[in-house]
Amino acid sequence: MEAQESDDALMARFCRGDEAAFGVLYDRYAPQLEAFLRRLVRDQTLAEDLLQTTFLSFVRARGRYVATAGLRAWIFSIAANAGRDALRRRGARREDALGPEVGNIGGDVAVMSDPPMARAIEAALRQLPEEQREAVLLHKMHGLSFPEVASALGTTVGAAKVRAHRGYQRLKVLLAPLENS
Amino acid sequence: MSIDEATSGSGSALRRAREAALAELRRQPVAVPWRREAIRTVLAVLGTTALVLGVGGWVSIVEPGRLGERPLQVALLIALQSLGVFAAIAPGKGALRWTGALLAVVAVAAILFGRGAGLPRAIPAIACSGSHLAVDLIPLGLVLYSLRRFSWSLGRAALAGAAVAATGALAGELSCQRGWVHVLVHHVGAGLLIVAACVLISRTLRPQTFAP
Repeated sequence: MEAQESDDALMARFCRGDEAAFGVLYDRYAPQLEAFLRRLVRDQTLAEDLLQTTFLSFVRARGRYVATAGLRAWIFSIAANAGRDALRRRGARREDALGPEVGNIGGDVAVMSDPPMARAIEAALRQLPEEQREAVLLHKMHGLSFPEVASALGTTVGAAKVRAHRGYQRLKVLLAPLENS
Repeated sequence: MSIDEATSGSGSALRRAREAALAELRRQPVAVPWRREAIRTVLAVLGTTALVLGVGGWVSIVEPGRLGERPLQVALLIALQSLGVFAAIAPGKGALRWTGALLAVVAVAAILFGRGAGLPRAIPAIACSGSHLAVDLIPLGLVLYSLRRFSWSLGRAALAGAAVAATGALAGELSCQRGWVHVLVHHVGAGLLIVAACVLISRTLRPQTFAP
């Protein structure tokens, strides 16, 4: 079986204008980024717009990429920045999303073996403060390591761990009734 | 199965994003390295400073002959302009930005301690603040243009503002003989206003990219 070309090798080709290299990177990251953005902004239409914004930024700013924390952290960082900016401009607050937008990410829960639990997790995630939600989403749901999470969120590894830990603690409290039942 | 693996988004959204990105790639096939962009901006800011000092000297507001009288302050301010702008644009490089912040503090201290009691002048003290702010306007425009190219961050914007304020500080070093209290109020104060303006204006501008 042929080994996958590394992100950095693809990135080097992409920086020289290679569309095929971009295509491989796009296929590798676009679905993950779309899922991340949907959970972050809790709005399907906005998430789709932000996916486009993320990839436009990816193309325009590829000269800024330095291969220290890795491409995955870098591209998630772009998406997180775009999402945060959109939420700030929209004046969105965590409380705004509770209730009416629950159905927006329903597609995700449909594929889990326990849909009620999946719905409860998604609803609990919405109740986390933005910083904690970002850390939990990146670490738990998208599998980024803590150094990658820290790089994506522009913070230290320690701070990323604290944010995620607080998020997990809060999720545990929020999900306790479901566990008991 | 992790819900992370679920990608329920519409195929059309993914296609649209891909097509838009490819169109952008065709518009600019070869990437511009960030170092080139940073060096270009540093040179533009330094060039503007030279122009300001040249014009100031020509109209006899600035005395370029004083360059030799305050070599430490002048060197620190030029270093602050160069490193500050470069570090504000550089991706990552937290250490470089901290170095720039430290340099700004050292430059301010050197300017204040280098003044002493100073000499009285006929023109009103507020004129110094006004001219400090005025000469910073073009460099401010240049760095704001560069800051738009990536995601906003407080540290970058503040450091870029400090580098811009060094232009007015340089002009002040070569034109103002007043004491340290005047410098603190009318020059450092004007510099802080520039830092605040850089932070606030860059925050409101919509960035061209969200890259870190």
